[in-house]
Amino acid sequence: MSLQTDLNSIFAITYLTIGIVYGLFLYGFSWTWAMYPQTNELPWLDRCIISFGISLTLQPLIIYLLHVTILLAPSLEGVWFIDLTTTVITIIVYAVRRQSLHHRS
Amino acid sequence: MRDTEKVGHKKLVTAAIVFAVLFTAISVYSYLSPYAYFASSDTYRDYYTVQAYLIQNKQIDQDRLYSHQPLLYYYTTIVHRLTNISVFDLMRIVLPIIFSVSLLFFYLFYRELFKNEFIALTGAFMTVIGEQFFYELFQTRPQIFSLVICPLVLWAYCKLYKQPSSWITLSLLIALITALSLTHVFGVLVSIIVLGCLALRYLFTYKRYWQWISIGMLSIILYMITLGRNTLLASVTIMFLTIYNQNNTDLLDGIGLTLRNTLSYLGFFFTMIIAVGGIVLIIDRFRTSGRAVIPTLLILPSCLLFLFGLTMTWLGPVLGYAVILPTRMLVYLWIGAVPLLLYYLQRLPKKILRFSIIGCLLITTGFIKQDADITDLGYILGNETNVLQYITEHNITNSVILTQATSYPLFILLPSELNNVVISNRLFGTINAELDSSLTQRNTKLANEIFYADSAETAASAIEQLIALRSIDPTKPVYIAYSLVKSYNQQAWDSLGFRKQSLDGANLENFDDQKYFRLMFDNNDIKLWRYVPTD
Repeated sequence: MSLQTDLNSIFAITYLTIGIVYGLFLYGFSWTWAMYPQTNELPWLDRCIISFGISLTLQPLIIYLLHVTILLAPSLEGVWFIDLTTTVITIIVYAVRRQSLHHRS
Repeated sequence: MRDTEKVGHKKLVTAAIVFAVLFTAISVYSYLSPYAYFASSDTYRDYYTVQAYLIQNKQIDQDRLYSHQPLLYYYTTIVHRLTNISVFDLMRIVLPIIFSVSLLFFYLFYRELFKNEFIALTGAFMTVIGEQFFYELFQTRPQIFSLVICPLVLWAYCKLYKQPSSWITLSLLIALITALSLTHVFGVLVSIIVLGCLALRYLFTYKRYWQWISIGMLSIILYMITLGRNTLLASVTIMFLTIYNQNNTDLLDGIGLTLRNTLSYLGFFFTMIIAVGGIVLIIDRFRTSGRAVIPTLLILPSCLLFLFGLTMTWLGPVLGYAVILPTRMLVYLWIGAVPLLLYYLQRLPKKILRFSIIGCLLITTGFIKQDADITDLGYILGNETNVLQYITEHNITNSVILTQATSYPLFILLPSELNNVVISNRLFGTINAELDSSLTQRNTKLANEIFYADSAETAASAIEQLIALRSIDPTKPVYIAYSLVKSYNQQAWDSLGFRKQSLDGANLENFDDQKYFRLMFDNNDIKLWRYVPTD
């Protein structure tokens, strides 16, 4: 399956775009908000760069650890399942932290 | 302040665009060539591991996958799953582009360290265009992953230094360090350096004893776990704890306590202590005189990285002992050297500073000249690819090609089935049995099967055995390929340093018998014979 063949269909292009944006950026972006919910903690430029870095680092780390511990294979479904689950968890963490910061202020 | 930031951002964006265009152009250039290949021989092995085990779920030797450097394999798999780009294209084009973005991580690290946009941007460029870094950047292999994570770890360390009570940043740093230690053995070294400096921070300046103890324990546990499963780290440890005699092949049995070795061992430690202590004292002196801008502990990881790099790459070999493949440390030496260089450069008056930085950039760019011909660094040398053209034009892609281990990556590029290429070093009459054995072991995973023709008396009977053993369709034409340029372009390590040494020899008289072999192609770089069965 080559890159050129994959680009032949609209579905493939959409999948490619979503995959790139989500896998390389959005995944880490949700982590940065969970960790640093306030803008003054991490400026926008830094946040974007770190989002890319976290996508690059934590994504394979989590999938590797789950593969060697609970034998969850990095199949198509496995990768999407783990990624989406962690993203949902980070969003929940962000909401909780944001709420607590709001109450504190 | 805001204007300065805007100018800094504009510079960054312009620089990033130029950088991205440059790297994309180089990557696309190789993509447009008729014979697409990886820029590194290691990538063929990594490609095979990802493709066979993680994508096709085949049972292969999982030792390397699990215990050595798994992060690159998993990242490639993830990007493949999420985008559906083939693993071959990913490892050849997409990942080098992704990794080149590490420029931004270095920018972030230097900005956190120096609090100066110009210095940060210059430092990032200086690091990335450093000869060794540039060389590594195009080769998709596990150590590049550690280079990408390394600045992130250093950034998190700087951030944590300034906010030591932030448990979030501490958790992030530990996660990054865990990832770093799964990339390459020198990544483990960086992790331990950073954890050590952090422990010092908590012990002396922040007085948080429980954090100090936990971080100290973590670094020891990390080290011991990695040590137990990684022979390369074991060799590094041997180098630090005792003497490693390079002449012996077995790492652990190769320890020899001679007078020279003992003296060099003691000298090594004393040099390290004096050098590290000296640098710390110098920095402290600047700090106390009010000239220093960076606290000692903040620059200490870079100092240590620089010194370890210096020791492993130059001092060890000069003294007669070294870890295997010491050039792998060169890039970490560079990562450690750039902050130190910038640290001293920024003390200069502004005009001299700018000239110095331009000079440094020009010098580092000059080093790239050596590596400009990226493709030569891979496994395709000289005019080898002409044989692929010959094979394609003569429509013999469905034939069986017998070749040596070192030529295997060349033929994997053919649009034919992978198992049509068969490795047989013994067929060519290997001149050095020991080297042949190590090569065979190394390529077992790559080729999946190695053929030995021990009992065969002639090359023709060896081929007959091979056809029977591998259940090859006897109606398929059999070709034998031998690369002349490959033999003399492998770098091999000996006690004196790097020198050119042949890995695969060949006894080409094996194929002189015209009854069985017909020379079909010869361009002085590669030869191709056709095997003609007698019956």
